[in-house]
This record gives sequence, C-alpha cells and structure tokens, in this order.
Amino acid sequence: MNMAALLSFLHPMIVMVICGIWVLSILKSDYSELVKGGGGDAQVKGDNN
Amino acid sequence: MAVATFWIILILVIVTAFMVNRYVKSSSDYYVMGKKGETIGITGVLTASYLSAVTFVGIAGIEYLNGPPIFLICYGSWIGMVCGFIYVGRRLRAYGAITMPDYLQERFGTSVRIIATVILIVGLLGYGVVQLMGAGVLLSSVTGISYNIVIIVFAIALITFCAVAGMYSVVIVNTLLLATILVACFILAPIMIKLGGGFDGLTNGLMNIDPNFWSAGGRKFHMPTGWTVGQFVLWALFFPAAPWIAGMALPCKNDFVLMRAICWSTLITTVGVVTLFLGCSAMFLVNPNIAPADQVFIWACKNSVHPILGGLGIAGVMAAILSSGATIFMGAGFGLSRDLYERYIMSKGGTLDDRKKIVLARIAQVVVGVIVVIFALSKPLAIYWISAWAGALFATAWLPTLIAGFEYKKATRAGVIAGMLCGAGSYILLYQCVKKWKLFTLPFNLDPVIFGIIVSFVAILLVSSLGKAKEEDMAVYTRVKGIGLAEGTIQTMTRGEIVKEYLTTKTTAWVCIIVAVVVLGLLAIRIVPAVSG
Repeated sequence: MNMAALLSFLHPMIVMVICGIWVLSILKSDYSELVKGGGGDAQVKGDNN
Repeated sequence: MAVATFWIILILVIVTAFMVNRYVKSSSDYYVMGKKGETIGITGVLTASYLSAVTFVGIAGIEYLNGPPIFLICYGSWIGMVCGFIYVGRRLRAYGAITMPDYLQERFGTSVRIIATVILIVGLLGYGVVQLMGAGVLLSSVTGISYNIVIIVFAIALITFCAVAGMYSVVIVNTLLLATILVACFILAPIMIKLGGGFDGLTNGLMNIDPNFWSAGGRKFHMPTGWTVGQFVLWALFFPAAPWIAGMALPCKNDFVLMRAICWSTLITTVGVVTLFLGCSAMFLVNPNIAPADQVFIWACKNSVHPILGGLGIAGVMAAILSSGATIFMGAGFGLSRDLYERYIMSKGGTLDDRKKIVLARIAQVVVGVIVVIFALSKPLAIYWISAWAGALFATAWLPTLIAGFEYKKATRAGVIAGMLCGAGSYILLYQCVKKWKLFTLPFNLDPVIFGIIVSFVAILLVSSLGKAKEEDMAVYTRVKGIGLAEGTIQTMTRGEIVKEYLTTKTTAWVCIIVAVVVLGLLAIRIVPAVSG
C-alpha cells in the first residue's frame, strides 16, 4: 500500500469529518435541549417578550 | 485575454464596492458588516481568503514538479482553518469583539493590546507586501503590463474596495469572486486531469516517468519526513491565529451561520485543493517543460482550454490574490484605526462619533495601502526578512496569547507579554541562524516556528507563575468563561427560528461529511491501488 497516496486523500477527508463532527457536537451540547422543548435556563427571544 | 480579464476584474471589484457602500450606516457596519453576514457571504469570504496566490501559483508549481502527495499530506492549513474559525473565531464573536485585539484589551488590558496590535500590523503589512509583490510579478508576466503599473493599479483597486465599504465590500466582492475560484477548482482542474490522460495518466503515466511522483517527499525535492511533519504543524498552528480566518467569524449573523460557513468552506477547500493539485500534477504529462513551474495553472489556462474558460481560470487566480490581499489590508487598517488610534483618543477622554470612526477607518486603509505600495515598488532588503517572519508572527505571538486568554485563568499581563516577545524573538533568531546564516540545523528539519511556539508557551507559564494575575483580569476570565458561546444566538432568536436553523445546520454538516467521504474516498479507491507496489 502506498501510504503517501492514501494519506493524500485520507487527510482532507479526516479534516472534513472532524469539522462536521465538531459542528454536530456543538449543536448537541448547546442547542439540542432547547430544540427538544427543554432549554433549562436558556432564554430565547420569544421568552423576553 | 489575460489583459482583458485583468481590467474586467478590477473594474468589477471597484464598481461593486461603491454599490454596497450605501449599506454602511455605522462603524459596526464598516468593521463587521453590522454582524449581519449570511452563510453564503461568510463562506465566500472565508474560502476566498483561504485560497491565496500561494495555492494557485507557488504550491501548484511544486505539485507539478513533485506529484500530488508532497503538499496534500502536509496541508495543515485545512485543520488550521477549522480550529481558527470554530475555536478562536467563535469565542471572539461570542465575546462581542469587533476586532481581534478587542478581546485582548478586555482580557489583559492596554499594554498587551498595544503590543499584540503592533505585531499584528507588522505581520499583516509584511504578508500584504509579499502578496502584492507576488501579484505584481505574476500578473506582469501574464498580461505584459509593467510591474510598477500592475502594483499601482492593483493597490488602487484594493484600497478602494477596502476603504469604501469595509467588511461589507470585502464579503460581497469575495463572494462574487468565489465563483471564478470554483470554476478554477471544479471545471478547469478536472479538464487538466483529462488532458493528462485521466486517472490512467495520473497513476500509470506519472509512475512510469518516476515512481517518486507518488512519494511523500516528491519526485524532484525528495523532502525528508521531518520537513513534512514540520510543514503540517507550521500551517496547522499558523492558521488558527491568522486574522483573515478567525476574523471572518466576527461578521456572522449568528452561531448557525458560523457553523454552516465553516462546513461549506472546509468542503470546498478540501475537495477543491485536492482536485486542483491533481490537475497541476497531470499537466506534467501534457508539457514537462513549463517554466517557471509555478505558472503551471496559468499556462494551462492560456494554452489548453477554450479562451473563455481560460479567462475565467486566470480570473480565479486574480480573485484569489485580490481576496487574500483585501482581508490582509483590511486587518492592518482596522488595527491602525480602531485598535490603536480610536482607543488612544478614548483613553485621553476624547470621543468619536460613528461618522468620524468610519472616516478614520477609511483613512487608515489608505495609509496601509500607500505603505504597502511604497514597499512593493522600492523592494527594500528588509522587506524580504519581514515577509519571511510575517506569517510565523501570528503562530508564535498571537496563538499562545489567545489560548492563554481562553484557557489559563492565572495568566498574567507580564506572562503574555513575555510569551509574545519571547515567541516572536526566538523564532526570528532561530530563523536567521538556521535558514539565513546556516549556522546549524534543527532536529528532523523541523521549522523554527514550532520552537518559537513552545518558547512562547513556556514563557507565559513561567512568568505567570512568578507573579499573580490581577483580580480584574481573572474576573474577566470568569465572566467570559461563563458566557455560553451560544447565548447571544439563543437570546436573539425565537424557538421556532432556532429549530429551523438547527435542522439546516445539522443537515449541512452531514451533507458536507458525506460528500467529502464519497468524493475523496472514490479518488482514493481509484488511485491508491494503482500507485501501490
């Protein structure tokens, strides 16, 4: 197996996967509770009115 | 064709800048687009800023002579961009910063902010001069127009489009220019691969000439593994602190726009750069004698495709130069007007209304432009030194300071000042000893920037441990740490809007992951076995 050739494609692919998973993890940690209808102490715009 | 493309692009840029000028009503509009940036605009400005002349000219030539892996393996700027935007940019945006030094002012006070801003401006000016000089040499040879005229005309366009509408014009113009960059990466580069014999040419064709075309060190350069590792680390650490990456998070309308923009930008830059570099390598099979080699992409545009497509390709190269130059000019101008002059006036008890702030920012852009043009035209010897250090200054001085600010509560003002000065100073000293004076070599051929970063972190930890952080600084750390990075977004949107944005962002992330895995996976399946033993 030519590792240099493999890494040439694996490297950018892994970066995109890391980026995507990072974004998905932010969505899960910071927003999912709110989206599901909970939200704890978070106050959305509508709650201010 | 090239001359026409040159003038059309410059006129388009200036006209667009004047058209968007009407949207600039306040200094916030000028500096961060009133924080109204949408996904397409932020994706455009981030991608176009990331892809500079270095990608289309310098590295493209290295790929042509050495084969695809030499830079595809060590292109640490991809992960650097992701970290710079999500880790650094998202925090700066959530803390309400208008410019990057804003955060340092709040976290560590005036002295740290002034030193950091001076380093920022010197680094950006050095980098800006290099970009402008590179553009002058390249466009002069392509168009036949003299170097001095190209520099002056190009600088007038850059100054105009940065000064007229600030971030607004940079975001909108860069988004328009991105179209030509996409043509270059996704239409021209595949045509170049086809001209070189398609996948068979890329694999068997190149391997028959020299199997080292598919080696990590390259066919011509035979770079050692230490160089590959060093380059990866250098780019991965340089980009997170680069103002033209993290600074592009500041105009985002909300957190969701920020997340979608980095997903699209990462997809375009990973798949686009891979395709571009495969195309440049394939051109060796079409003509192995292109000289200078770094004009391989320009040569392909002029000689291998339909003139209209070739013109769009050259426009893509110009767009890459213009967009990177603009974000660099803008960063230096903002540093001069907002982070030094405005703050100085305010510290003396003076006040500036919004109109005066915008005028001041425009004057700063012109001052920056004139300085860069004088350097680019006179080419003093010192500028070659400054330009060599410019990029590394962000990695050695800014990155450790930002990380200390975000993560190290007990970091003292003296500690971060020592970190910035020792990091930048040790890098410059090592660079001169190793690369200029050739006094010794570093282990594994690692780049001096890696040692500069280590020295900077050690200096921050050591000096901070000798003193005590100010209560007000630790209070800022605690307050800032307590600010949820999503809080600003949540408070400005209704629950229904959040749900909609959440689903769109989630879908975007998955689409980008799937497209990258499928496209790059198919390329790997098609190419790797054919170039293996």
